[in-house]
Amino acid sequence: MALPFVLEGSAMLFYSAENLMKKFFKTESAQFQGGCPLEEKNTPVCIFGKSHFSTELIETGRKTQYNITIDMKKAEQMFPFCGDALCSRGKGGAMATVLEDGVSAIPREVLGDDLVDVRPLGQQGGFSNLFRAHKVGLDVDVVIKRVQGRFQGRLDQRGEARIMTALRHQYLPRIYDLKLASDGFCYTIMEFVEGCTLREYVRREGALDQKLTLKWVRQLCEVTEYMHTRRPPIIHSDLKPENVMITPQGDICVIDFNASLEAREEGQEAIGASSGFAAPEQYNLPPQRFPAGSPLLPVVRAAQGYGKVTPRTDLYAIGALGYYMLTGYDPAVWCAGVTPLTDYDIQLGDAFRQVLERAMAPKQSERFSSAGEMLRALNNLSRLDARYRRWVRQTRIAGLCVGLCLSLGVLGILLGLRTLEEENRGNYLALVEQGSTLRQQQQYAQSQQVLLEAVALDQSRIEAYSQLAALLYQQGEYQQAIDLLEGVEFHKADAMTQEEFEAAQGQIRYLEGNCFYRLEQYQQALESYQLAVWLTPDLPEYQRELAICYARTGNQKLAEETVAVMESIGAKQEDLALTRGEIAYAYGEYDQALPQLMAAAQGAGDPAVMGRAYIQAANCCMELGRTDEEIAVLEEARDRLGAASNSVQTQMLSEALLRKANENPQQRQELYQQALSLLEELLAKGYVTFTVEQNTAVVLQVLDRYEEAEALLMEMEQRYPGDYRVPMRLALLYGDLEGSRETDQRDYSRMAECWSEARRLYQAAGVQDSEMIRLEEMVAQLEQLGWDLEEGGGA
Amino acid sequence: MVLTKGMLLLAGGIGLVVLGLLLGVVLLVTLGRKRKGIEEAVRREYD
Repeated sequence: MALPFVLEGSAMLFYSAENLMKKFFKTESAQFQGGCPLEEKNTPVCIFGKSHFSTELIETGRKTQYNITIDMKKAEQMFPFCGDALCSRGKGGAMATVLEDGVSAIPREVLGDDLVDVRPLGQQGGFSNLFRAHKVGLDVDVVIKRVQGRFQGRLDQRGEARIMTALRHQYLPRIYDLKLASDGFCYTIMEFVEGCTLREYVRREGALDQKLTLKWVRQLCEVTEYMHTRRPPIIHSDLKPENVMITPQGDICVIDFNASLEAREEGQEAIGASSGFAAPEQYNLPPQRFPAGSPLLPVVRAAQGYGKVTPRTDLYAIGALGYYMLTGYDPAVWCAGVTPLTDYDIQLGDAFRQVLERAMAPKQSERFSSAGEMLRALNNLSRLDARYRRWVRQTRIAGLCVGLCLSLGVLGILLGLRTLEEENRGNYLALVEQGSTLRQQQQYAQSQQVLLEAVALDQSRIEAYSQLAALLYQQGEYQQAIDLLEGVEFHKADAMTQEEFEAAQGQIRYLEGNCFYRLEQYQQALESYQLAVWLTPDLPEYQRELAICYARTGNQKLAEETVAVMESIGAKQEDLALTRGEIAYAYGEYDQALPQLMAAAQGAGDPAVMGRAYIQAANCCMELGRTDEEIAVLEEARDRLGAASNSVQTQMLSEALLRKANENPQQRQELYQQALSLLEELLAKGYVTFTVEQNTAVVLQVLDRYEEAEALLMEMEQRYPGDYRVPMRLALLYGDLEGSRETDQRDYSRMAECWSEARRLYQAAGVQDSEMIRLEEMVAQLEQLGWDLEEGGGA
Repeated sequence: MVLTKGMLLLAGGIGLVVLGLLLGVVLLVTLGRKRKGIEEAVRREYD
């Protein structure tokens, strides 16, 4: 019985006739008929699509004979570079006869009761038999696919089904069942896809417009991306118009996974190629497989170096399918020169053409890296447009301009801030220098103003504070100096080394200690000196003050140890004498202290040591009640120190003269005058302290120069608004002034007003002051005399 | 108030930053509109 049978050729297979028989037809008994003698069995046999050859199945008992006839004319048309070889032995055709075991019918176990109306399908898969049937359970038509016995051994019979089972996508057919039957074949029951193949569609409708082509190429990319992103990725490797179904809904459906491969990193060797739609790497096989003179050798040789099959292989086929849809022609095999799309008279956008050309690049590296990337390119065709590229260029230039502006701006800001900082630093140091110079010139008010400006410029730098504290200390404003330094955290300036910074901090603490010392707050002074010595241990004057402070706080042992330290670091004799004198003074041993202090004062070259020694020597004299000697010491100090640094001694001298005046009524006027001239000298050179001004006001008052005293006190009231001593002095002044008048001319209203203010501030200050007590006694006396100061000072 | 080099640099820097930002905004709007136009034209071409 001869049964007309048509193979659906899916790929050109690179096998010799002998291997073809062995591998595909599972037989050694291949016979060639019609001009193909047996000795030519190693000649490559090319099996093309179904249009190029046909077979005739003849049942001969237990054997089945296949007569394969190759249609040379069609083969030449579709695969011209093989034509000569085929024709040379063809006489218009070649025939091979293959004997194999008979094909049995589909076993009942496969069909069951569910599959009915089974009939051969008009088209056959390349490696399989296809039947159409009706699946009763689901009431759908299905395709039963059986891998042909001839291909048993070459393909994993479950291979396609296994791949297909793992895939679920709207553009892929569904697998309903997979059965391994008793006849050894694998039967796959899958969705019957209605419609026609892309090949049939194009033949019927002609070349497609770019809108429909774009839609189907996008769908191909979607389904290919889906396959490529499985684990492991699946490469179809045989995408061509025959394997793309067009459904009645107008969508594609990719079929026939017989040639599918699992992607590997190193690539897969091709198992076949479809002319025009196969990428170069699908031809890249060892030329040794092909005998000399093989028509395939030129193609195979041309494919050398194009690598192995990878997911990018499918992208070439998608590009070729797009080419086919737009032109209606199969693209030529790449090495035969593909006619450029621009040569066709078709409506095709520049961007879409670029995508297809890139997909069809012979080198894999020049194609899209993935189907996803190609799909994104298709979804963003505008980005490939020349206008878009021009827009990108413009945007880049604009971005560059903006970036340049911003960069230059930021650079300018940074540079400006740095320059401003440097300028501020320069200004700061200039002000500190100016303040220091003014201080040395005894222009204390100007110096203070300049230094305060410097502090305002940078409140964390130490230099201005150091100078300002020294200035306040020099003026005797000890509490102010302490308040200035309290709570300030200094930061090291960039220009200073760590040693310089520590030295400056040590000096600040030393000055602070001096201020506490002058205010007789010895414990705080001790802490400051300890800190100063810790910061700068090698300075004898710091050790000296520490030793004195130890003595003041009753730590005689520590004081003597510190003197020993002073000796060990090479302190001068006058420093040691001053220290010993101070320690003796601290313990009230004034007689022993005085010679030491005088020795220190007279031997000292440093004005600070000299001044300090004279001051303490004068204090010793005062404690011993030797006012005349005290005055002599202070006068000597004034002479030796000079006007630049004798302010404190001058102030002490004025106080000593006032004390002497109180002790000597006969010389009172003269002594007051001397004291006043000293005080005025101090005020004239800017040594404007509260004590100096107050003493000046007192002296002016006792010299009956009430108006000058009043004016000075009024100025002080402005300068020291919360100090009770100013209204107290004014009240005493007004009391004295009114007391000098006739009784009926007296008016104690101003005194009452000042007394009231002084009393309020005095109570708020919470201190004890003998002068205030004197004022209260004076007020009490006046009230006894009938002056009611509580009621405004009236009689 | 005396204008120093630092102040001039700072002012210039701030000016450039402001200019850059303004330019950026203007270009962003202009080029954004142009891009939309191109995309629309390309979309029409393939529809």
